Amino acid sequence: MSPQDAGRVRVAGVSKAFPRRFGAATLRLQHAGPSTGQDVALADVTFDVGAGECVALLGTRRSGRTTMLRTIQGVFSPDAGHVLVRGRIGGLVAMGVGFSPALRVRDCLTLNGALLGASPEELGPVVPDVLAFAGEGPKVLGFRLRDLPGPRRRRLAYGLALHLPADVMLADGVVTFGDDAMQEAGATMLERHREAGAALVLATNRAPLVRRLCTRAVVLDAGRVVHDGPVGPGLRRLRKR
Amino acid sequence: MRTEDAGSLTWREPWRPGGVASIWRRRRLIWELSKAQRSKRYQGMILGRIWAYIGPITQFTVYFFVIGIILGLSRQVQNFPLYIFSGLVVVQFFNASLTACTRSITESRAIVRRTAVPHVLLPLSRVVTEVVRLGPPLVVLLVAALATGWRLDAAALLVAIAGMALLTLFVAGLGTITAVADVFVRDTRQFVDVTTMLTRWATPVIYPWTLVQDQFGDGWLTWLYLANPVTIATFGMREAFWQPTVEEGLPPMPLPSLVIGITVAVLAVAVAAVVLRRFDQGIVQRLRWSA
Repeated sequence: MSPQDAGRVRVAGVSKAFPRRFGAATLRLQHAGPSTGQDVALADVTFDVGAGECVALLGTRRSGRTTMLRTIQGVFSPDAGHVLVRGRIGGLVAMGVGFSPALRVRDCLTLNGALLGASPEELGPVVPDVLAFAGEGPKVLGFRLRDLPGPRRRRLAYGLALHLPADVMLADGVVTFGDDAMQEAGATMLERHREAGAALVLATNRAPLVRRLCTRAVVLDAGRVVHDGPVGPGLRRLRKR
Repeated sequence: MRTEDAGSLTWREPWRPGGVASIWRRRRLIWELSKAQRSKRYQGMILGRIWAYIGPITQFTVYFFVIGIILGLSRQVQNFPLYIFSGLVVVQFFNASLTACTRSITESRAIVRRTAVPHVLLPLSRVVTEVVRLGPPLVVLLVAALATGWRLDAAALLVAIAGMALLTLFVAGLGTITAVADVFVRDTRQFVDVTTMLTRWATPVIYPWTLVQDQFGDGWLTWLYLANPVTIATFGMREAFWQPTVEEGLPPMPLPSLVIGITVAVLAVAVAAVVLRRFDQGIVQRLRWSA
């Protein structure tokens, strides 16, 4: 991989604030920078993520991890600074979006894939792997989602999120779930993404998972970066909070 | 598991409101969203898609008997059933599209909060759904036209298609504005309900527009009354389906009304683009808190 091909995510001086109360006055404020009457979610955050790198975003509640992830994803735009990405963004952040009980499983997979930018041509070869991952046969594609119990739905959603091609993988909250075998399979898939050259950003505080998958940790505290470096010190810093 | 073109990727900002090129690139997603909405609509019903025919036929029958027979308008307009139905199809499309668009963003919270999909795709997918749903009423209209001596007039059919395209553009613009408004102002749905009720009576669907001309004369008041994309589309549909079945049709739409109506449609799209750009982040922030 050439050096110019190595970067995947560039976060430079990003700040983001949210209005405390949303009303008529907020409509006027929403493009203003961090100021009184607003909750500062991110303050001058800077870090890069390269291809084949896995970065853990560590932090307590209201540290700004989710906002950071959503800003990389493109849901939020920064008030100041900029975020740049290279390649398609995928991962677990949009897991199961578009899944509706009234739809057939096939349509749910297609819609969720389309929401993540995957064409039916890209989705087609992935579906057998998703079904195998979720422990389902091809028959399930014709079932209405409401006919499946919750855990089976979630396995399908999780499987699709893990199998869609992506250059930047983002995960927030759910990184692995289910029984031990499912958790192991999920972690293995994320490792395979990383080894294939995707950049991973995981907003999780689960130490065993972070140690296993991540090559670096960025610790956020009240929206500021207080550590950007090796995983071990990052986790220790988190425990001190 | 990188994407195939991962080696030749360029840096880009992940956040962007949807421009025309961005919408075109995501046309497949618009179609998938629309497909999902259509799948849900009649799902689990015994009569299923037959309801798509029952609705327009019932509505037509009610209007025909009440307005045509009981109020006696069928004596003033030749082939009144076709006259009324060719207009109803248009108004029904406009009303259904506007109502669906208005709810499109607030009903798609998960998409807004958890994906970077441009918000404009949500109302657009609803418009596509309603365009597809035009199929059954158009079939009923065609059957009714054929039964009353209709013959194909290619030029008139093109006029009808152009009119419906203009209306689609207009409702996409207006629906996007109301969809954004619905996120911030709870009164929006009530406003849209009143608008759709007014549209049914403020456009010459049930009565001939010449009745208005008789009241207000041939001046600017009549022009303004006619100057909207719903009426332009109604004229187009009449030109294509009703006019060929009668000996004496109604006069064509005055040119000033046509020009103003087209301008209104283009303005609606322009205002929608400005509104979306202005409130794009506000939408996410607003829906971030709501349940």
